Amino acid sequence: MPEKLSDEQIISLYNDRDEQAIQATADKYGNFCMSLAYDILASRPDAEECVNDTYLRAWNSIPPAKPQSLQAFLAAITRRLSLDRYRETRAAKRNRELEVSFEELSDSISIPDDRADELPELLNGFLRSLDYPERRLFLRRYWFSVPVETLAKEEGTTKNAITVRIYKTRNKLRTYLKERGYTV
Amino acid sequence: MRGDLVYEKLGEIDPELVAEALPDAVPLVTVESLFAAPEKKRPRPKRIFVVCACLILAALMLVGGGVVMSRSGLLAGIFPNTEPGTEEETDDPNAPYQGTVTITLFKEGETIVLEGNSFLEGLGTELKNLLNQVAMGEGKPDPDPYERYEYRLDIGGDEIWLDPHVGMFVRDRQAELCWELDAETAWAITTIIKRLKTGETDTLPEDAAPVCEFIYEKATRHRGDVFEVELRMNDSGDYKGSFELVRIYLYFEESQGVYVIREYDISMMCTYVFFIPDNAPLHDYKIIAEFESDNYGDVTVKSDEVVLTVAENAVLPTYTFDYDKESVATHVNYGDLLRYTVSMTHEGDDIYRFGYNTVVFPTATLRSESGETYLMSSIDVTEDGEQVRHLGNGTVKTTVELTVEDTMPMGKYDLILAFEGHEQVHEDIFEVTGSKVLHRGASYGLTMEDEGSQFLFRAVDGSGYEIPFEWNIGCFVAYIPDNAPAGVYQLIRIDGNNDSQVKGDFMITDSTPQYRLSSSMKQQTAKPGDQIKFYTYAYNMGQPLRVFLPYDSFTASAMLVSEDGSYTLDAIGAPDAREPINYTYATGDVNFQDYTFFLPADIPAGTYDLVLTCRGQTKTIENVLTVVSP
Repeated sequence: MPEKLSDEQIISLYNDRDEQAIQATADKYGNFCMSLAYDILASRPDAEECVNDTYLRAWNSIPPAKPQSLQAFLAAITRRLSLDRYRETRAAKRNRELEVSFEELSDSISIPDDRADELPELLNGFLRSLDYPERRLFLRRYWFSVPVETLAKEEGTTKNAITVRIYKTRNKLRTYLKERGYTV
Repeated sequence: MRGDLVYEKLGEIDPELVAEALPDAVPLVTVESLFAAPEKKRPRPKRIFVVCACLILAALMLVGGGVVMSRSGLLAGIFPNTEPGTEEETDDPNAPYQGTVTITLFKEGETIVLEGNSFLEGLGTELKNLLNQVAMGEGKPDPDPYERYEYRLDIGGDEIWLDPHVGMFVRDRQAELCWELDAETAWAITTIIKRLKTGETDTLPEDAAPVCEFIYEKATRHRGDVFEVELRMNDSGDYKGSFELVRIYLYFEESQGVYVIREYDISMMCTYVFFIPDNAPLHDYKIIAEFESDNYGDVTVKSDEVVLTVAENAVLPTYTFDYDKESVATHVNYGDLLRYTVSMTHEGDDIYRFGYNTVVFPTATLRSESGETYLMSSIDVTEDGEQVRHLGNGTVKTTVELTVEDTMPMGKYDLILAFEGHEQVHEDIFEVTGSKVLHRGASYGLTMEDEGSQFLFRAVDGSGYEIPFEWNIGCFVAYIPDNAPAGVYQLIRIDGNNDSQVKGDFMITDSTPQYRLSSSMKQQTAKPGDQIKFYTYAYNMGQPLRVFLPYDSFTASAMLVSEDGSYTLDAIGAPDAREPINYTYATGDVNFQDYTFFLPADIPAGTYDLVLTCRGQTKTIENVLTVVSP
């Protein structure tokens, strides 16, 4: 099996409009994107479609986009597309794991919907205030939608320990927002 | 804030924070997990993987490692006892493997030797081709992204890593990446090793506890009710490997066959919900769960007793559906967001419903004239009263929405509201006109992630008239000038040398906006250094303009001009604060602006006019200020 290309090489293929870029992306990050999409959608066909759309979006975006981290760039696209797809299909099939995540976050963030645009900057500040392990855990759970069970394996600990850690972080978030005038 | 909205906004955080939370390329896991049951549901039966594993492994042996050994030394680890001189024999693809497989695992200094070969015998057909495919990376099976195995296996000094994100790869003793296998091969080899470890077992242990336990409240329900059962797996250690639930259903058997009530589409983790259809026979039902397992093949677990009795309804359930007609536009365009509040009213016997919002709301589907259907997303669920287990009769409401994509055909659409076989069609509730109408003076915004792209409106009449979009902090915004030729335009995206149309056609009308400009400034006399205060208004007297706020705003300006035009002074003002909203229809008062400034010391004495400007249109209020020498 040929060795996988580096991110720089793959981006170079995109810049050269060489369609090998998509294959190289699929080879290197296909599983990762599928995993991310599947954790949100819990449906293989839907996840596959989102991942394919991710490649197309990457193809249309690079150039001019110059991602610092190709993996993070792809993750952002996959996540967004998957959430869009999830909303489209939500009435028909729900991903209970994801719905639980929604509820957890909803309980922690009391900002009105019409002020949602303020949230990314607040989250940036909050996340930077956390220690790296907690920040990473929070993002793995809510940005990457990784199930608690998987996180427990990643961290080499129990599900309960993960749940408690994330719960504490959510409490910190609630306090953080409260201190900034967002009443719980 | 809604959880899904939080999720969406979380996607907009600093990418650097995301990058540092990416999954590790190679998670460290101990060898014990090799024998842990995979915990993630896999979409395909595991027995397929087992066969595949046998094929691959036997294939590796048949060719004597000729190809693979040269790549990684993998065979040297897995097949140290392979007899030399077998390469010629491997040319015969039907030759069964006759040797012994030895795999050595190293675990904290302990050496475990596994041997076995019987299960490989007789599997010679097509092995070489398969090996070649694997070795050359051709025709490999699709990686299975749902696997969550994370194993590290030390074989003769080389390490095999199995990772959910990158599949499986082999490292040599210097920990350099030698060769990579796809995830399915990794799974196959893992399975082989597990079977070597556990031995061949095809039957369930006789004295073992049941594979699973059903947790339920025995109940009598009506048609239209739901019934829930929790499935609790036996984790006592009686079994080796994992079990994957394939199907769970309520059933009864009669001479003419088996009647089944399927699991409802949406399961709550380990709780399975069954919707009792209107035509379900009145009967006693038991429950059954079917599994596939690593080591025991297909396994079926049945309840010993009746768990549910379906009783006759006094009144069969009926459902009526409605939607909020007030909110429905009759003509919509691509990109428009449709949002309705739909309701479902149930009548009949009091019904028993699982009190969670996954079950009790109707679906809303749009149907085009040509029959394509589009399921609307439910974004909110409300219920009369709290979500309760015993719903009784009543009305359930939910908000549904859908953005009209340009892939949807033009024409009229029906709205179909449905719930479990009951449906109501509301015909021709709107029409997709296929083009977005823009008046001169309007603005149109695109929220895009790719800042580097270029967009423009291009007239289709061949005149080459174009209206550019400008990038403005997260949005592309185009402003339709007052002199734009009326007609059909295409929204063009430019990527490199390629132009492509997006979002259908746009119609720019010949309606030219008329702004009425006025000022509170009264005729007055002042001298240099005096403070001047006034405000201005701009009214849109024409068609309501669809504008993209706050990226486009009706900024106005005011300027004092001397009688002979030789001296001008821009008034300094502040626009009124606007809420950061996106599209709005601007009509009536579109701009209010306060001006407060001091006349400069060098302003010439004389009479001044006030010139107001809004979007290229001007109004002059003559002789509004007389400046006298100090």
